[in-house]
Amino acid sequence: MTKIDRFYYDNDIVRKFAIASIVFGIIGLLVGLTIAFQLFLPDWNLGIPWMTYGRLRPLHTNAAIFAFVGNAIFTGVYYSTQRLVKTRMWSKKLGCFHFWSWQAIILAAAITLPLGITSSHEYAELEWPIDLAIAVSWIAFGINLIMTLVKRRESHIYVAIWFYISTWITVTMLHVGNNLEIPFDVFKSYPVFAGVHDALIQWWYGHNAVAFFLTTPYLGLMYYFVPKAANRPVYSYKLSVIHFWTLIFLYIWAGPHHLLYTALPDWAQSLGTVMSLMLIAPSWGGMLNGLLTLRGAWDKVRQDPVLKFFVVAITAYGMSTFEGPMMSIKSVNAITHYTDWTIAHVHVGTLGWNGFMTFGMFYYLFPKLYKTKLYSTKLAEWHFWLGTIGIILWVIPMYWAGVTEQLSWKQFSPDGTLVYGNFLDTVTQVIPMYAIRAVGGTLYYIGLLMAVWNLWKTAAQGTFVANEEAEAPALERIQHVNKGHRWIESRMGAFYFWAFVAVFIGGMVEIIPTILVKSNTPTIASVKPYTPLELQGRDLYIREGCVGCHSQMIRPFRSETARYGQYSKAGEFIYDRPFLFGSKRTGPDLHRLGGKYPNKWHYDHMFDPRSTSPGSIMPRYPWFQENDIDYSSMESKINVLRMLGTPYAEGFEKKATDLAKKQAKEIAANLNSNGIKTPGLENKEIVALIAYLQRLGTDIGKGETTMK
Amino acid sequence: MISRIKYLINSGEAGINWMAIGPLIFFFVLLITIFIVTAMRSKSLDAYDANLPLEGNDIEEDEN
Repeated sequence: MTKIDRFYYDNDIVRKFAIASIVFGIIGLLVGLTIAFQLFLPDWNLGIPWMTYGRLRPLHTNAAIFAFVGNAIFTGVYYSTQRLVKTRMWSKKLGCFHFWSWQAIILAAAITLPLGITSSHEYAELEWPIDLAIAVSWIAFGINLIMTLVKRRESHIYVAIWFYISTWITVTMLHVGNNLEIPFDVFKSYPVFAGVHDALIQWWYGHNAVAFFLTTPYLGLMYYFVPKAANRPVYSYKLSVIHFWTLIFLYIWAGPHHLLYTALPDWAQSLGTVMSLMLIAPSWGGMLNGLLTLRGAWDKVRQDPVLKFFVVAITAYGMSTFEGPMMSIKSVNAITHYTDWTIAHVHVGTLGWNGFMTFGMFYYLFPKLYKTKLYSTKLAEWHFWLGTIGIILWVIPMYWAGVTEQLSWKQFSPDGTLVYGNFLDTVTQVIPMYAIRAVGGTLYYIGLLMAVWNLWKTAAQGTFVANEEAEAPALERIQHVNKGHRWIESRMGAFYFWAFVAVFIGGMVEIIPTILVKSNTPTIASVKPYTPLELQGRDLYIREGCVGCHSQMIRPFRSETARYGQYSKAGEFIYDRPFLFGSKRTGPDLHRLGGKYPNKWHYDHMFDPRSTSPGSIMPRYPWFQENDIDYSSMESKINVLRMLGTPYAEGFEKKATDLAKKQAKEIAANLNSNGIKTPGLENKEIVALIAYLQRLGTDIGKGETTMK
Repeated sequence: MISRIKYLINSGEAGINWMAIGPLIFFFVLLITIFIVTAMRSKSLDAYDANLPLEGNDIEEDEN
């Protein structure tokens, strides 16, 4: 006679994460809406440093990814895992620790990012103390997940949990790899890698933050919640085996598709392209498995808003995972890179796949958690349509803008000159599209607020059951089926190990030769380390998030060398910690900016960009003329950089501040002679920034004539 | 035959990019292996696994 265990599922932890996701969704998406408006109303930062686009954009991305989506992931994982393994979460205390530590991390991000405390690595901007906290919180989550699986009452580990396992393993690996940094003060650090190496490792992480934080956990949630909502099993379990392993193996290789036509070695770029194209297959395997689960249930989709959200989410996933590989083809990438097309692509995924899966999941979960019906199905339907129209109005203008931008940048007149020699002319053309995008975002946000109201009222009318009674046959020993893939489906330890092997290979094949084989990043003798003042200026550039709008990587296209000068060589970046290639050109590329404009132009431009460039959407930075340069970390910066391989002489750190002040006096004198009489000018941050900007790209000869 | 293969391998203008092609070949071998292994799965066990999310083993769902 099989013994039946009676136990309780922990719904309290599920509810905690759900509420956190909703709260941070409201905040994170509001920040996104704010920066969308700032792109055509640059004075919407109200003259406040921590409200500028450059500082708010990382806040938006981190809030959307780690706060809104992250908390939603944990909501779904904690809910589904317990029920799939018929076991309560192993440790309530660890769950609570995970929850509160994760929210503390988000709070730390919300404080540090607007203050300009950033590593400038996209989706990994948080500085070293917070990176350590993330590691601790993540390990707590991992231990709780592992031990729950150890104590499970179901021998078979369902496919959703494979995705959760691969998520945990890979995010651990990526977080450690991309956050290898040496602190030079309490809040700031420099990465171990520089230039092209830093770029490769960043995008090994960055693309796989998309893969293993925005995709695999959501595929896991799809494999649980779609069958649950439709009340039918997944279409093909066989397909889930194939697409799981191929997906997690291939995704890791895709990072270099963010670096096509850059100074990254060509073979690495080719690998990124090829593997990204291959990725269509497993991604669409997942999409088809999700959609075909609904075969025979399409009449339910008509009536149930939960299923509507899921269908659009999975469709958006399919769209993104076809478009992404297409954008990874070099000839397509030549048109899409640095433009708003990339931004459109991201938001089909985040608004469509992540957003709509999250909404569908919450509309399913809240009635279950509160033992009631959804407060208003009609309101949920309205949310669905508003959100869908919002997505369309968001992405279509951005595709239009992306094509407009790149074709404008590339257009030559019959006499061989650039038609749009002034970059600003290409920006002003897309401002109407930015405005339409903001309308789309507003509609999507209104939909979110409808969801908040609906879920609030659902909770209010029901009774929350913190501990949900359940029963299941006791499992004395795990039953193994030792045939084919089934061998691993009941062996948790082996699953963790082989998932790690699958995700480890790609990164190592791309990263190790790039770093160890010297010929992959040829050095240039004339390239010298930054002077102390230039270093200070560079750190100000990082603080303000300039990399969010300006690239520093000129591609080897005639249109780019004609506009900016010689294309960027790998050897020019060997002292760049962190790299600042950039991903988007809302403003022009700056890699050959040095010497292009006089110091006074930069002084005026930073104070009010529209004074030198009428029609510019760049925000004002008057505080550069007010704040004094902070030399307190100068010595330790030099020491850390020397330790990492920058050839500053021994003892250089002792005279670095004096050298910086001497250079600052020279620049201030030049500004004075051009009519700038600001008191104490040589101590102001603007002087350091000018020093850095005037250095850019001057280590090698000018080459092609630059267009003014 | 061998000379033909050698000719093909050496015929690319800049040589064959083994760093890119190697992993691609490895991936295809992996994919074919996975296909074969998956094709031999038991249908009945797959049906059981696929129905795991649908099992209502909490008491209140059963009572309802």
